[in-house]
Amino acid sequence: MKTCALGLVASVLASSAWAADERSNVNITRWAEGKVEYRKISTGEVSGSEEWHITVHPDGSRTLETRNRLDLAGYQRHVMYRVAENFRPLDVTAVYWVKGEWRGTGLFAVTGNDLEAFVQTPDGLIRQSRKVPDRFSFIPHPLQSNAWHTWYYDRAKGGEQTITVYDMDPGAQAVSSMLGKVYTQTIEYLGTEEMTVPAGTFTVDRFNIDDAVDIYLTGPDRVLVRFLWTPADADYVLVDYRDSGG
Amino acid sequence: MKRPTGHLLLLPLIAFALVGAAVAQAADDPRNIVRWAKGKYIYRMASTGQATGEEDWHLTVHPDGSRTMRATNFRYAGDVHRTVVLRVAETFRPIDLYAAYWVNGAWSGTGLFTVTGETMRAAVETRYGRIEQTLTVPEHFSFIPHPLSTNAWLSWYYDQAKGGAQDITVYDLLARVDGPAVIGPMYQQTLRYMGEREITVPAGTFDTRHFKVDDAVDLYLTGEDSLMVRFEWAPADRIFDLTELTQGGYPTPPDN
Repeated sequence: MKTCALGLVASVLASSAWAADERSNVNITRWAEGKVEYRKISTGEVSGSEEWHITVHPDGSRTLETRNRLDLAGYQRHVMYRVAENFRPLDVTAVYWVKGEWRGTGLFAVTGNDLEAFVQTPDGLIRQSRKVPDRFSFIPHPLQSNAWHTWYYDRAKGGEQTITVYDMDPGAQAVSSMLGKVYTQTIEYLGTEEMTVPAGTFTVDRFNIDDAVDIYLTGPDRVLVRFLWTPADADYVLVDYRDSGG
Repeated sequence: MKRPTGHLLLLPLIAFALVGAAVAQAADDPRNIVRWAKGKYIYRMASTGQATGEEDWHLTVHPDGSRTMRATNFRYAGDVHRTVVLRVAETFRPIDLYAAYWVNGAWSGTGLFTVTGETMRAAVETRYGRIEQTLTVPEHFSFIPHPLSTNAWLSWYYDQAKGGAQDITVYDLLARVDGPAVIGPMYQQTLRYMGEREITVPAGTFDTRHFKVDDAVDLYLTGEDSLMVRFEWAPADRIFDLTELTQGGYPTPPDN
């Protein structure tokens, strides 16, 4: 114990000294990180959680690393998602586990209108080459990575608008494990409001998707403050938040 | 492993373990993670102590014994920023590797490497376009993705009973701006086990296994997950130490 206490003091002193010569990372212009808690609306029971970290780079592109767990379903996902300054997808890498079994690791890369998927699964390697529109987004399933659908919504026009998503199989159940389906959804901007959640009070943009989900996003990096999915009895709420702005 | 600062967390861990046992029985086997650890390294010049970089890492161990190590490092020289997710089997043989590199403010490449039997396949997006590589790899090899927590898993097939200098095979990912990045060469190094040694670093005091790589690097590993405690590279005047360590078991929050 004495050794450890001395070690701790030394560690604190040394850390202070090192902090003085830390250098800012020129590859990152700002960052944010947070935790989302998954709850049942009806009971308030916590059914899972998600931790995420966003870095924004000098060219305006963003890298999101996020991990979520849904305890009742036994899902564990780890996603690295890069988007351009305008939030158009660049690439996403996802690793899925279900009930203790690895279900796949995949890289989905977008170049122009070409999407190339390279997915290793327990059944072998799967390749997919397909066209994607200029305007689309991924649904890798951790909710912060699902929150970047609104980047081409035309607010001047308003009302219901169609979005295109590439939705990975959430449980990676089939032989085609993790490969996604492309489909459209309807999204509508419902205004700006102030919202208080455990992580704090935020000015949020509210969108409704398919008359089923209300998502509340804040700031230039479209941080998910709340994802309310009433038909599924699910309420996902930001409970911790930090960013480089202090 | 011995007396890490993380031992202060033992009491809450025991409490979590008791609660966790009940939760695990109640749920439908959601345990994708049986234990975790996270930590930080400081990169320094050995002669002056001046910082030359930093690294954060997070390890999860799964029910099948496989491990996922995710790490982010920033090397001040050249302004190299790397994010890596390395998965290895229970034996530490590589399964797959994700790597995204940034150099001097510009994205350099994003790659996924998968290993199935003797075949390694790589799909790498770079500024110069997409690169694919299929390579035959030996049973015994490891990746060098460059965050040190991921470089440290190179001793898994060293034969301690035999001892002495032994050849190891590594696939070394390149961070470059003047050409396609992330794809790398495969080559051999020499590894020698030097014995057990107690090491004190800012994160605590640890019983370690001391290895020497190519008579240039002293590598100190601890515990069943071969966590790197120190990486000492005397010819380059560099020393890399573990400064923080926290560990836990399922379902200890806040790590998922």
